[in-house]
Amino acid sequence: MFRKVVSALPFSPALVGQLGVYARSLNREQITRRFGLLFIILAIGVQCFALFRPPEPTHAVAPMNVCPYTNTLAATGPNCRACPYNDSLWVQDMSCSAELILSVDAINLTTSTRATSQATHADDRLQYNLHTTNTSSSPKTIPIEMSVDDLVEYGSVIDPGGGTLDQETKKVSWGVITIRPGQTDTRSFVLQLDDKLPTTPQAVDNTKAYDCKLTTMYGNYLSVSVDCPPTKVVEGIIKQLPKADVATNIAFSISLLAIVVYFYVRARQLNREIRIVRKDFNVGLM
Amino acid sequence: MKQIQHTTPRATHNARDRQGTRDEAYRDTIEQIQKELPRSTRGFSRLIHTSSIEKASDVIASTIARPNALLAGGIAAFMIILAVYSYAKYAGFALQGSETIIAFVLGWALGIVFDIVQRFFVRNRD
Repeated sequence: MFRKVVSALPFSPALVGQLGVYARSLNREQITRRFGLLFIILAIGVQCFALFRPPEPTHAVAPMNVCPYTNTLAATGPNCRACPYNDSLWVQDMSCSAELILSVDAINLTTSTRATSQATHADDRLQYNLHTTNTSSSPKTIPIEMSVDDLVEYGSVIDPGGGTLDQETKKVSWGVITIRPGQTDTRSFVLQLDDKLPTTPQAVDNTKAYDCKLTTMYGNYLSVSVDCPPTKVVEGIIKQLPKADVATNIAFSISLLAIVVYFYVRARQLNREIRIVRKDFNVGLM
Repeated sequence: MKQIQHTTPRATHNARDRQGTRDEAYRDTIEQIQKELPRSTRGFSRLIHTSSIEKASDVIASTIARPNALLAGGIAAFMIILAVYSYAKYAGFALQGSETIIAFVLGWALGIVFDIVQRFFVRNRD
C-alpha cells in the first residue's frame, strides 16, 4: 500500500487525500501493533513464571505404585497379577475361581434410576449391590469385601448393609460366607455424596483419584459420573491439552516476539516516512 | 456477449514504461525520505524498502500478521494464561505447557474472523 500511494503521488497530486487516509490508517495500525506487542510481552512473562515456577501438583493418598488388586503389594511386585477368571480380582484372592461369578451394580436412590445412566449430583444417595453366584456343584466359602477408596473421595458410606467399613483400608466387608451351589448372594451398602463436592485436583501419581468418577470393581468395573463443580471443568480441559516442553515454548515465544516487534517497528517507520512525504508534498519539494 | 480484449504490443510497452517510471519515482522519493530521516533509522528504512522484503512484509502484514489478529492473540494469551496459572497455583494441579500457545492461536483466529466480518460490513455499507 505504501509503495502504491507514494509511487503514484508525483504523477497524480490529487492522491494527497488518499495519502491522508493512508496516514491515518498507518497511525491506527501502529497503535494496535503497540498494544499487541505489550500484551504478548505480558503473556510471555506469565508463561515464563508458569514454566520456571510451576504450580505444585497434588499427590494421591493411594498412589498408583500400589498394586491395584491388593494394597499390601507394590505395583511392580511379581505377585501383583490379575485373576485369570476375573481381571478385577487378585490372583491369590479366595474369590478367584472359575466357578464364582461376581458383579456389581448401583442405583441412585435419590432419582430412583440406574446410577450409570446419568451423572450423580451433590447430596445424592447411591446403593451399591454386590452379587456373588456359585455356579459349581459344591458349596463355596469366600470373603465378601469391596474397596471403596475411590467412592469416599466424594462421599461417605452411611449404611454398610450389615457389613463393616474399615476406615484404614477403605473396604466394606461382610466377612467369610458360604454360598450354596447355584445360589446368588447379594450384599448392599449405601453411599451418600457430600453436599458440597470437593474441587481437589486429580493427583499426579494416581489419575483415578478425584477424577469426577466413582470407580469400583467387583467382578466388573463400575464407573459412575459425578457432576463436579465448574472449577473442576477448567482442570479437565487443561488435562486434555497437548503437552509442550520448555524448548517448544521458548521457540514459539522468540518467533512470535520477533514477528510482532518487526511489524510494530515497521509500522512506526512507515508512519514516520509518510509524515515526511506529506510535509515535502505540502512545501512543494515533491 | 463476451468481448475479447486484445492488448497490442504497443500498449504493453507503454504500460511497462509507465511502471518503470513509477518505480524510478518511488526510488527517488524513498531516497529523498531517507536523507531526511535520523541516521539511526536509515538502515532499517533501507531494509524494509528492499523490493523482496517489502513485498513479503506487505503480504504477511495483510494475512497472518494482521494488527487486530496479533492484538487479539496477545490479549487472549495474556488473560487465559494469567487466569489458568493463578487457578492452578491455588487449586494445585500441573499445567501442560501449551496453554499460552493455544490461547494465542484461538485469539489470533478470532482477530482474523473479526477483520473479515468488519470488512464485510464496511463493504456492504459502501
